[in-house]
Amino acid sequence: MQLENAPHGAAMSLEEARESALAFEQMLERVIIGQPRAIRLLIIAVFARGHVLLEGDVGVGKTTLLRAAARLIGGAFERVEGSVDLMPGDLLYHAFIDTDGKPRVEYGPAIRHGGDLAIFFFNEINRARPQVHSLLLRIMTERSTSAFNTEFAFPFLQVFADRNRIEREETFELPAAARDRFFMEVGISAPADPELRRRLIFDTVFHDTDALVGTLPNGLIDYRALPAIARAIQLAVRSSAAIESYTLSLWQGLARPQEVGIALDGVDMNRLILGGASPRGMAYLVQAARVQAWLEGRAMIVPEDIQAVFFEVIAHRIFLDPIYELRRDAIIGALVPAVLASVAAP
Amino acid sequence: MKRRVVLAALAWLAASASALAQVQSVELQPPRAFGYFAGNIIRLEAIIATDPGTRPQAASLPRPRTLRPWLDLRAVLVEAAGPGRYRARFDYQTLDAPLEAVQRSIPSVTLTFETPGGTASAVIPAWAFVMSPLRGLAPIGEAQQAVLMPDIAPRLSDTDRFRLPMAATALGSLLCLGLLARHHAWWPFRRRAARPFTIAERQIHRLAATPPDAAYRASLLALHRAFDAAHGKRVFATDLDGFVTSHPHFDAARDDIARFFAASRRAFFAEDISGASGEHPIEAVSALSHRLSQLERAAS
Repeated sequence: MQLENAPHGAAMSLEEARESALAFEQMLERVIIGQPRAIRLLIIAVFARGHVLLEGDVGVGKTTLLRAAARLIGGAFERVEGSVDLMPGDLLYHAFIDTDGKPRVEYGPAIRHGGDLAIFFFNEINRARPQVHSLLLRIMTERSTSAFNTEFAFPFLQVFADRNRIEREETFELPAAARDRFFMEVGISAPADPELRRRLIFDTVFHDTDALVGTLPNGLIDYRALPAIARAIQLAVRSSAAIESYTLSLWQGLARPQEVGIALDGVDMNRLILGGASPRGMAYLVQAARVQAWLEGRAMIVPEDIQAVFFEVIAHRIFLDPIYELRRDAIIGALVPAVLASVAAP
Repeated sequence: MKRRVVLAALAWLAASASALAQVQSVELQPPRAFGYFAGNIIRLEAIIATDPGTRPQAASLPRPRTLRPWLDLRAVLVEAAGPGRYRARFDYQTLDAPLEAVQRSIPSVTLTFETPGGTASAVIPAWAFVMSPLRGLAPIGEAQQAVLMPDIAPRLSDTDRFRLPMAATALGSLLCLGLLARHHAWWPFRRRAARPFTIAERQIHRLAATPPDAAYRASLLALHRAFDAAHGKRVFATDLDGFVTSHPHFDAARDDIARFFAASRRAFFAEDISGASGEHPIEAVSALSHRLSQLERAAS
């Protein structure tokens, strides 16, 4: 299949794009060791044009992963630290006194690169105020913003955000609607394999992340081609009636787990779920599954594709009764595999 | 004058008696002298009156022993019974029942006492008694009635009042046994090992009458459900390794199972039933179900 209207001119077949994507994955795995699943999910998000909320402890390599991805994609990378006093304007402009003593206003990180902005990393998003969230959410959904009486469009933008999950003081939890707009919520933790841990600590290659990222080729995949590739993937990978009914059954199983015979310890299943996944979430699930199938070299979705992305796409969209919210991680961690284990396909 | 002579003689006699014999008298206190049978104990007692300063000589006491074939001396005891008096006690036991009532005699015993001037003897005389034979009774006439009475008929207890409690207890025991059997999964609560593949094989056999495409789909579904049931959760194509690891007896059919999953994937997710059934026909599905049900039975 030939991709039409590739903005950079060169036509690229879907098969070539897949080879680039697999090369992209291999290079990331060389630089970020012990995170094959997070890398695969990141690539799925890149080729589905979805925004990702990263969750993980400090110093496990989230920023390095994103910087490496940004370098491979090409395009501009921006990073903002969330804090209580960060205001929406801080993302859009920067006011300062120049060397001549005159006040000056320049573009802020969100619009500084104009349409070339490819990856925008918002660190500790839950430290920022809701005003900042709303600006960011608009940029995410519409891929545009207005500043200085001008519309700025970011056709190639992909937002990654990181949520600090340890501290609760001075944080503003993302509202459900905001979390629903993230394509995936990916957990990143330090690798468990002792050999990988040893390498991460003692191998000097991993100490200097700038040099490490610098070893990667710049622009392996042209970021300007990504939207077209993503559209082509969604058109090329088909979903059968069996997979559609499987997806609907999964949705049903999430909304009413007691009806598929799921019982969790110490949980009243009848009141556990306030809301299952949204239709947008289920649509994201199918999009992600299509990209996964494409990466696996298939032109059809199989249940394993759905399962491969199910937790990261769906888990953060399940809303629990408030009394179970404090145990959310444990309950969702048990509920999602139980739903996958009990719904049959075909 | 004559009277003075008699008194003097008596005084001399008394004086000489006190100088020669300090044992003054031996008084036998025998039990009854009749009605003894083999094995009876006869306790013979004698009170011996002595002068002060006289003590029985322990070495002179007879040792318990067999005296006659029909008589044993079992025990001897001499004890003080007041000032100058001693009680000698002999326990004899009769043996050897005679054929008829006979008079027998326990021999006399001589005890020696130590006195200030030497020793003195006290003779306990022999004692005769009648010993009777052991003989069965031969009652006659009315007396027989008194001796041989018919057995008293046993009294029948009233058991009716225990019937209800017993039935209740038996019922309770049965119930407890049932609960125990259920707890331990004994018969009849012991469930047969599930045979999902055998069930699937039967289902696939019954599909002969249905149209080919529908039959093919149904046969694949039947086998899928059998895999789910055998594994306890849904089995997908990529779970084959895990399935075979936890059920190693199906390893022999591993390649066939992989082909089945590939065909199922083609039939359901690529919606290419004709291609799938050309590659892996319903006969192959049926053969696989037969093979798996054999492996399943062999393993259980």
